Amino acid sequence: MWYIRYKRAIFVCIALAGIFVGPWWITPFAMLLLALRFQAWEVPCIGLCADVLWGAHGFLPLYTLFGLILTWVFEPLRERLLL
Amino acid sequence: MRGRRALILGTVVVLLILLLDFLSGGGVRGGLRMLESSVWGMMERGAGALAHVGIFKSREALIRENETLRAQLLQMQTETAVSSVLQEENARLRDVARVAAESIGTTARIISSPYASAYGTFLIGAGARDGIQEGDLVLSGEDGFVLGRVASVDTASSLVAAVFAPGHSTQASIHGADVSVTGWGASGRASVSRDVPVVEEDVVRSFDYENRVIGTVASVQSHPASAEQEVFIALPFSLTKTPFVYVVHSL
Repeated sequence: MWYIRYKRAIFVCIALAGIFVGPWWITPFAMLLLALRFQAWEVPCIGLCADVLWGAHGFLPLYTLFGLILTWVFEPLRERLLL
Repeated sequence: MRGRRALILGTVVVLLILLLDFLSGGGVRGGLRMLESSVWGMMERGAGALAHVGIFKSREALIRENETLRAQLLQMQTETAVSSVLQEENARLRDVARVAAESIGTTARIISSPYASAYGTFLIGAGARDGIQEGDLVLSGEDGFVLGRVASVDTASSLVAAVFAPGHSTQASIHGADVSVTGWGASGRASVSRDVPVVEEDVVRSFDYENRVIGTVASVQSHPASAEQEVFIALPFSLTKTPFVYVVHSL
C-alpha cells in the first residue's frame, strides 16, 4: 500500500508545483490523473489553491469547479472500474 | 467508506473557504500570494546562483585545479557575476526611469511566474502601500508596452490581468483598421480584412489601454478562400526576461 500513497503524494506535489511555477496546464493534468486513480479529497483543495492564488476577487473559480467536477463525476467510474 | 467521507469533508471545506473568501472580498488570498513570491524568488535566486557560480561547468577541469586556485577562481567568478547582474539591472532600471519620466507611477518587480496562471494573471511586488489601485495600467519597463491592468491589490503585492489573458477581448488598431483582439495566453489573435496591408512587426495599439502599444504583429496567415486574414499579436520580448514593470497610477 505504501507505493500507492507514494504515487498519490507525487501527483499532489506535481499539481502544487504547477500552481507555483507553471506552466499552467500541469496542475489540471495532475488533478485529472489524481481524480482518475484515487478517491482524492486533495483535488478540489488543489483547485482552490490555484484560484485563491491566481484569480482576482469576482473571477469564476474555474480550477475549483474543475476539481469538484472531476472528483464527483469520476466517483461512480472509479467505484465500478478502478477500485 | 473512509475515502468517501474524506471526499465529502474536503468538498465542504473547499466550499466554505470559497464562501468566506467571497464574503471577505478576497481576504483569504494574501498569505498564499506571499508564499508564491517567496517560492518564485528562491527559484530565481537559485537559478541565478547556479548559472553564475558555474557549478555545472566541466568537472574534470575543476578537479585539475588546486584548492587555492579553485577558491580564487570561484571568488572572482562570483564577483564578476554580481557585477554583471548589477550592470544588467542598472540598465533595465534606467529604461524604466525613461518610461517613468512620461507618466506618474511606481516601478515594481514581477514576483511570480508570468506563465503559471491559466487566467493570464501574474503578481508584482507593489501594492496598496505603494499607491497601486485596481485598474492601474502595467507597462513593461524597457519599451513601455502595455502588459495589463491591476486586477486586485493586497498590501505589498498586486495581481495583474494580462492584455492577452485567455478569452479576454481588447479593441485595437492595426494600420488604422479597428480590430478586436482575443487573448490566447502569451499572444492575441485578430481577424483583419485582407485589404489592410498587415506585415510582421507592425505595431498594435489599443483604445482600451489609452492608445498605447500592446504588442507587435508576430505572424499573418491568410487563405485565398477567405476575405479576412488571421493576425497573431505578441510582445516582442519574453516576460520572463523582464524583471521590472512600471505601474501607471490612474488619475
